[in-house]
Amino acid sequence: MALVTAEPSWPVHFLHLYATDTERLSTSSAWLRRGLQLGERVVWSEPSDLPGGRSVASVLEEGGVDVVAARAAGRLVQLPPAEFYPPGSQVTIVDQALADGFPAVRIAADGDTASRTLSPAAFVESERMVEVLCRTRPMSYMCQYERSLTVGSRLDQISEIHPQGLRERRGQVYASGDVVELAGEFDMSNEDVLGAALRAASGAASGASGNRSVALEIGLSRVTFLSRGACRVLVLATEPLRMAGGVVRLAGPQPHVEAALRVLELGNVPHMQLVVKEP
Amino acid sequence: MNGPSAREFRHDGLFYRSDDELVAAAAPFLRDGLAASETVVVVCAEPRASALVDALPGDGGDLLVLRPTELYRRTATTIAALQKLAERELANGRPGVRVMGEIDFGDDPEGKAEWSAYEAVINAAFAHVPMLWTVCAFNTRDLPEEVISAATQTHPHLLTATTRTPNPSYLEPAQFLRRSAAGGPGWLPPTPPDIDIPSLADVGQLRGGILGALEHTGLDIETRHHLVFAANEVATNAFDHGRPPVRVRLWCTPSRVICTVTDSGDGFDDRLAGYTRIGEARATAAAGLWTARQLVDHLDAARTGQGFTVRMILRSSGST
Repeated sequence: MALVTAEPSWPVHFLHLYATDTERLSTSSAWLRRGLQLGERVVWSEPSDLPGGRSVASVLEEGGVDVVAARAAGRLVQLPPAEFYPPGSQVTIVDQALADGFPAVRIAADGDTASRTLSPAAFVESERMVEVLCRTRPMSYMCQYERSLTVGSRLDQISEIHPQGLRERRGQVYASGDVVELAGEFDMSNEDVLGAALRAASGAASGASGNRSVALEIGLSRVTFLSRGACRVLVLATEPLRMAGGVVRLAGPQPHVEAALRVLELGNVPHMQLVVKEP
Repeated sequence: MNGPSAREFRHDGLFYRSDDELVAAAAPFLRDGLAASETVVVVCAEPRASALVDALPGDGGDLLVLRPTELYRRTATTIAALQKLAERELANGRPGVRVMGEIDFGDDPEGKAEWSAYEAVINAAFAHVPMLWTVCAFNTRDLPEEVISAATQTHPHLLTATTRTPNPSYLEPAQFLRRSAAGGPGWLPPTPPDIDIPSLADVGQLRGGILGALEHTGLDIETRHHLVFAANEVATNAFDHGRPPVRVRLWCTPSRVICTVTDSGDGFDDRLAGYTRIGEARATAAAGLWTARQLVDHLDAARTGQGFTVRMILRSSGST
């Protein structure tokens, strides 16, 4: 099978939707371990009453990280939620790390705890502050939310405050300006996630464009499966942008994904183009 | 064009015993279409295609001639192609579309039944496609009795060199399909399946299982992905509209791959479901079924003892 799957670069502020606690831990630990390898200060917060007693620290330890030594050297910092989430604390955490001589800071946060700890307005403000920090400081930030709790309007709201994208069990959507890169599989299990992320990305691209018509490129080269429902989402989620005169280019699908797009005639949708690589 | 004066879909049977008889009946139909600036298509093998062209004024003008294999590859894709052709030509300002076609029914009983069912289905699938007029030609000397018999029941009108008359033997599509449907024992292979997932956890599990099982078949990669896509749509329908558990089975035989998706719900009894082309923005079970039909050689469904089963068949290349 010619299924590509080189990992796209992770954005600096992104949403991770996890289905199980094991998935939460393995994804955050892998991402944080990468930060340790790069010499960054790695910071995270998680509740103390974790099911099964497993924690990020224990998974890092299992992965070969000397947690005690890393903590002693200030490379690894775990904070209790009460210190981690209040508005303004993120700025302090980042600036302190930079003042301590670290080249960058990598932070993993539990978004569900943040939304429970803070008022709705403070929660949104805190996420927006993180977005600004990520654009102005050498830092990256992963917000983890439980997938089963992140649906409907909550999914839309959370996606909107993470316009750089998200990853979940099967699929990833990363956005930067007028380009959205999709990777993995999209089917009935994550069509809603795809829709929310695309609406956020196309909304952000339209918002940044002023009155200019947007040409949004949706990169499909790393997509290994796209269901009919997911194809439908590509159409519906970009409708406001296209109706406003923008154009959506579906770029570089693998041959079997291209076949699905052709059967469903997505290239004939108004203001939508299928851009296929030359063989 | 779509106003009260629009011609409704017409579907005529033309039964002939000699090439001269075919030309005598078909040429006026084609000639009138060309004279009215309609889009006129002939889908016919040689030497009959040339005989028809020779019978038309000039060199046949705007007549489009296709080989049967160019249009009649798979029933569901033929329906989609004709619907698209009609919509496109009318949108481009043509007053109508006429197609004279001669299907190659082949030697395989399943293929004959499939194309006979197609003749019934298009009466419903094109009911809302105005200004499309198809004439299907049948050589009564060479075609087997079951094909001729089915054809006499699936064409609302009969066309000859001198008359166009209502067909007294015509059956409504659903009625024809119910009478001719295969089913019961033998519907599935008697051997144990190559894959049997009694309770599908999610559609991702199905895709991985099918791709793995198809790796050792002679099917090319594109065809394997077609089955994966089709099965994914049918299983999505089972989760969305049926009742769990959803069971998936797959048989790989030398001549074909058969995949079934069974849920515990009542399913549907609409034998015409999923034949009409649906816009990409519609989220219905029929839309999923339409997509699946485009990608496999055969798709049918039945209520079985275990629930509601949709069966998809891909024929290995070389088998008919």
